[in-house]
Amino acid sequence: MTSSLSPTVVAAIDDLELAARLVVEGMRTGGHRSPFHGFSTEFRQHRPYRLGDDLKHLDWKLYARSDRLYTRQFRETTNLSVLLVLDRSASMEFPDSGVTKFRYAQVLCAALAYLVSDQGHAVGLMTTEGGKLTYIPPRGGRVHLRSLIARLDRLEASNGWDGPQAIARGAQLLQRRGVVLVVSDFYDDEESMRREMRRAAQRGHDVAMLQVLSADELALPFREHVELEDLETGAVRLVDAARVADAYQVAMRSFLDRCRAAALRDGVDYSLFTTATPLEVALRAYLLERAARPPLRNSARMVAR
Amino acid sequence: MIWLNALALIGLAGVVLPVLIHLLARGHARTRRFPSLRFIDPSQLVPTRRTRVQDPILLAVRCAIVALAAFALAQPVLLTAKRKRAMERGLARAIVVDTSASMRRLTPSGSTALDSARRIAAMLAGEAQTSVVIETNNPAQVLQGAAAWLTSHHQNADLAVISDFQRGRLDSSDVRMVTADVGVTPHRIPVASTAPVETQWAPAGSDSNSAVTLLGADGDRTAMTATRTAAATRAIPSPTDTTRAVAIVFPGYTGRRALESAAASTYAPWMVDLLKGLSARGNDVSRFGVRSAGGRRQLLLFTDSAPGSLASARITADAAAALSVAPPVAELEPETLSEREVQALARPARNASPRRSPDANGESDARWLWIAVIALLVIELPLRRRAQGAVASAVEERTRAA
Repeated sequence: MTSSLSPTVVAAIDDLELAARLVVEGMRTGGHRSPFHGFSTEFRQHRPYRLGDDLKHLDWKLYARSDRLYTRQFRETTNLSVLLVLDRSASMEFPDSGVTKFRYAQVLCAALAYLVSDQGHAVGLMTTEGGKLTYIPPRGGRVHLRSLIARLDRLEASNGWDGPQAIARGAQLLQRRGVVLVVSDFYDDEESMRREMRRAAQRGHDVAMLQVLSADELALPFREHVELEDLETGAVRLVDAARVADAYQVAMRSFLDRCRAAALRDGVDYSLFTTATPLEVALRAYLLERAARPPLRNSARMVAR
Repeated sequence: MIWLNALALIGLAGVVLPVLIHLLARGHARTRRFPSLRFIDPSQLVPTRRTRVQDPILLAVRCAIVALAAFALAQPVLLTAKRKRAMERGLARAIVVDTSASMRRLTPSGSTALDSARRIAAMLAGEAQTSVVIETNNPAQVLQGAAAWLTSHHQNADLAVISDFQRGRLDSSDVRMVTADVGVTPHRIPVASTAPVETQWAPAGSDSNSAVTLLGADGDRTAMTATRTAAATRAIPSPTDTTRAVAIVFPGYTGRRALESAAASTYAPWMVDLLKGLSARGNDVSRFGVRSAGGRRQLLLFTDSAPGSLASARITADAAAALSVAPPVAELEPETLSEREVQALARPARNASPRRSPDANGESDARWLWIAVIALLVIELPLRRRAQGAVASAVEERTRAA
């Protein structure tokens, strides 16, 4: 049996790269192999050995023939371009205590980026900063990964998020078929979001809805009267939690059902992540579930071995 | 019902505490940041605070607990007839009845103030285990003696003063002289009229209506007028008792012999006093007797002095003075103490109060209220748990369902 890192512990790690690595390593310790494949390198050229080069890249056969040291150079090839679309809306900054949805989503994105990059795929990021779209094109390599994770780490939840636009623009900017992973609570305009995800899927992208919610907003665990402040609009309403809870849960379940049904209808992957679930557990379950499904026609696909 | 510790009723104000706590607790609803209010039905938003009592039964029970506790602390005593008798059983009471002339005035009920005072005295005496009634025309003089009698009985002592409280007769300095162990209770007798009751003014110079009738020969009419005038210069006209009458029979009166033979010898006390006075002063009255005239008894004085003589004038003046039993005018129209001054004379006993031990055990009915408070506390506990449990289980159920 393997022990999982609690979301609280993972979220408490300041270094997002380390947190992502811990999640990915924890996911792998369960006996599962990497769900991503397609790592390949293509020989490019020889160059004279320089001090500091890794000895494993020395071409010993050439050394035997020519008595000179040459280092082999490779060109890394990627199979997929993965674009992470991260929701930065204010509603992601919930709950007040413990792991927020946004931090959970940050670690999730970082872990996915780490995983994807580790498999030699290109990974990019689409989000908004100060009301403007921020796009980091998908690339491979450690340097890019670190840069992307550092950028992710600097992000904070705020207003000005435009989900449909981010998805549409990200799908456009992907030059070839890729994977679009939308990490959000999907509280934006439902119809617009679905439309853009459907369009992205129609372009041939593999689109996935990774819905991040907290247990508190699923259950409305308040007692008696409570003043609720809408994180996005700032509106404050006094509600009798005991009275509205049932209707709230019905509405929430209906919303989740709509999301799931729309994703199925539009050929979009759907997975619900709750912040109470250890990230590596949730991620492993998602990837296994994803691997078990047949690849969608005309779309890029990450598959597990 | 009486309260042994009425000051504790202030605690009733504490009833507002549960209500305030309830309202304030609702008023300070916590503000929680929440991702979205889109899933909350707007019709279920609470429009204003403090408009709805969440658990009225629990609130009512809590208010009742506070109220009953306040009542219990005030030590109520339900005054049943049995308890009232028990309260009065240990009471010694001295009742001072003012019999001064001003007490002859009429009360609104038509009886004299003195009669009313005596009736009240009898009633007060009946309430006490030991009592004494002291009638005096100067209540201030007997207060200390009555107090001494009361303190000798080692009981709850009450000194009741029944009077019209004419100013100058009794004041607070007199009450202060009474030992503090004795309570003083003034009882004022209301007086409706200041007019004299038993006396009337005798018209000067009238023979027929005068209380003093001069009977003489027709030829002596001038002399008799002189006699009356001479008597008037000696005795100041004053109110006379209309029940008293005197006839002075001079020697020349034609019916003198008949009167002498018909005269009776049943004298009223005032007649005896008058005769003794006349005798002491050496007035020339040869015989005397009593007859009925005009519905009243008349004292007949047979004199040998001639009308118009100095002796006849002296007899007439003495008779007039004897008829005048009315007190001075100041006694009949006295200035009385105000109601507030009378109430200021009242004073409870220092150590003993008849209400301290209302029943045989010396206990109030507070114990029943305390039992009720405990019962309500027992009821309140499951009510509170039910209210809290309902919320907690609902939240838990929601969480599990979610």
